[in-house]
Amino acid sequence: MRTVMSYKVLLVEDDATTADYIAKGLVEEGFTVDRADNGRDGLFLATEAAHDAIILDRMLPGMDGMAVLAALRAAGIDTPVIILSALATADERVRGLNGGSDDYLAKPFAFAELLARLRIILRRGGGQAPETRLSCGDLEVDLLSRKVKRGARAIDLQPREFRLLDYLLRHQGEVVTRTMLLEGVWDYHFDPGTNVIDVHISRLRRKVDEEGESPLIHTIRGAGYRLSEQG
Amino acid sequence: MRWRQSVIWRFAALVFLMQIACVLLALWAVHQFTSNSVEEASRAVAVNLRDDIAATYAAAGLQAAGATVRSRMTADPDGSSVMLLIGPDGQRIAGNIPAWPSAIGPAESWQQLDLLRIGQKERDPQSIGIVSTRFPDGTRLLTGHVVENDLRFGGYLEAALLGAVLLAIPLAAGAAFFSAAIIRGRLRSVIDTAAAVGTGDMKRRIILSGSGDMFDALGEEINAMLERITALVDEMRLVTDGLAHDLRSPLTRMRAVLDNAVRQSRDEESIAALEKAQEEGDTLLRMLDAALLISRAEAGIGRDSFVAVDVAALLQDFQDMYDALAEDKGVTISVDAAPGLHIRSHREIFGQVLSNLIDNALKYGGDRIWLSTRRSGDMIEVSVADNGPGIAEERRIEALRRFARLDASRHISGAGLGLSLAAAVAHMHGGTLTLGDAGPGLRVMLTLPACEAGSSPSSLS
Repeated sequence: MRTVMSYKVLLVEDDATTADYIAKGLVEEGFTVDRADNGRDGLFLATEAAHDAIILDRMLPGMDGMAVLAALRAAGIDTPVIILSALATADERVRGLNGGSDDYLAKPFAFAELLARLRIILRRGGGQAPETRLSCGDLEVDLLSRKVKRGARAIDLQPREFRLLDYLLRHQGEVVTRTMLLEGVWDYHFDPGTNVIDVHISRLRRKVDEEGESPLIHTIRGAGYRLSEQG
Repeated sequence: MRWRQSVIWRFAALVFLMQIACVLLALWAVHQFTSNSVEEASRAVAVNLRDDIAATYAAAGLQAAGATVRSRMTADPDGSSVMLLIGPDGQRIAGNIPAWPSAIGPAESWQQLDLLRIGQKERDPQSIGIVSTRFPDGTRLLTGHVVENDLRFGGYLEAALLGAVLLAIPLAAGAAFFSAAIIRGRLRSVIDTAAAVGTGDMKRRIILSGSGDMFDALGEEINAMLERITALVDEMRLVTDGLAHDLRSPLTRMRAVLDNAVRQSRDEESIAALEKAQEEGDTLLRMLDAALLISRAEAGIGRDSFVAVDVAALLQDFQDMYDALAEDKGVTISVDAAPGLHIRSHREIFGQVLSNLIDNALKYGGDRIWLSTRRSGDMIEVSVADNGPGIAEERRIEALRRFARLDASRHISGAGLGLSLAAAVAHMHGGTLTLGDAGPGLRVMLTLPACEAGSSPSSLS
């Protein structure tokens, strides 16, 4: 896993319990965290110090989160922003994303979900060349011919299993949550409520991790899944 | 559409006919009045002449009357009077026509005929109005007046009136067309505004002409009503947002506390209990979301972000998403979707509805689920059907109620809101939800207005 020691995150959240919870978790994961408990201070900090990412609550005293975001984008600051909001409806989400945020996470959320999404927007800034091959350990995927191999064993995947594996490989080493998979593979953002995703993963796992092979797809309790060589 | 048009065109036809009727009536009146008064004048001249001569005859006898006739003839230089006095023995005493016309009786009150007068300038016989009198001793007197010019004037008048009628027809048609067009235009703005608001453009208002007429009054009333509706919807948005925020904040904190506890706990049993608590929190949240989504959908909030959505693609997505889960439960999902059907919708909200309906079918249905869509006139029907026990007809209304759960033993979380959410979302789209018999099983059918694709980008998948 790549180092996160250098990552500096600005957290703008007025609810102390939630802010403590996020900050504690981020610090444990090795992030440096700046905090602001209102929109004005948040905007000030965001324009002053260079952050790698901003976690922004929508309903803030002083200045609304969307207004902070608009001011940032208008000032030409394109630090990636994740909006955290109690406004969870589909149209609010669209409004948030259209307003210039990179991701939109509804409250309440699992920390693992926030962390996974934060890692994705941090990595997005890196700028990657379009890949034609993905691999993890002895698992290899040719994106052009759509052929999947584990060592010498060819794996026959259905199109959606292929898309799932593609998504996991692109985020290997990171925790991906069920909602992230629903977004990444089917492009829906609602909460399916049932174990729709789990069933797809277990099918994929049966094909990828056979008896005697070291497992690549790991279940992360209370969070989701991770594709990696290490458990 | 057609009946609205026909009312306006009936109105136009009425305007046209009324105008033509008014013109005809007015012209007829002018014609009658003019011709009567012209005739009256000629007749009065003839009658006066007769009365004068008759008075002379009564006072001074036949020869004096003859003298009067002669003097009147000389006093009438333009020769528009006609006179003839015949004695009791049939002898012509005086006059300017040669003989008593055979067509004239002895006592005519007013009759017209063509006569040639003695010494007239014109060559042809002229139309003359005649009054004739027979005295008790057999003396006959004929007086008259040339009406040739009157008749010619009458002819001109009739031609002019006909011309006026012919001119009135296109003018009346034009007036009818324009009055219909004006009414159509004014009503159009009311209809367009109502339709726009109905499809979610809450800011649309009827443009008033400022004339203060009935259409403006109607427009003002409707605008006031729209203001009130907009205010209520805004209030609803505020209340649901506030409620969502106020309930989500403690749930977020609870989630944080439980998350921390899970991470710090080393005891498997405690972790299981904490995770169960998290799950229940999620269920609570899901129900809150569904309840809020229903309220917002009923108020039509979110319609402004509707785009054209390909229904067949949506159903394929959901088959793709759910068939693995269904297969594990021994259920087959099949899709029967005509391609190219689009509705104006929000992909996420509609997806949430489909997800709930498929979930319900998996929980309560049999071993088959059918997702289907087809066009029915201007509407598109989207059905989720199963071959389970279904819902008895008399319980279907109850099933659509919020938090309704038909079977008390069905302790499956959040199931009470699926159908009422689907119904609310159907209403939000300007459609309906019906529960039917899939024979056997339940068929949940959403009937939604169709839209043409291409107005905006559809689903992204």
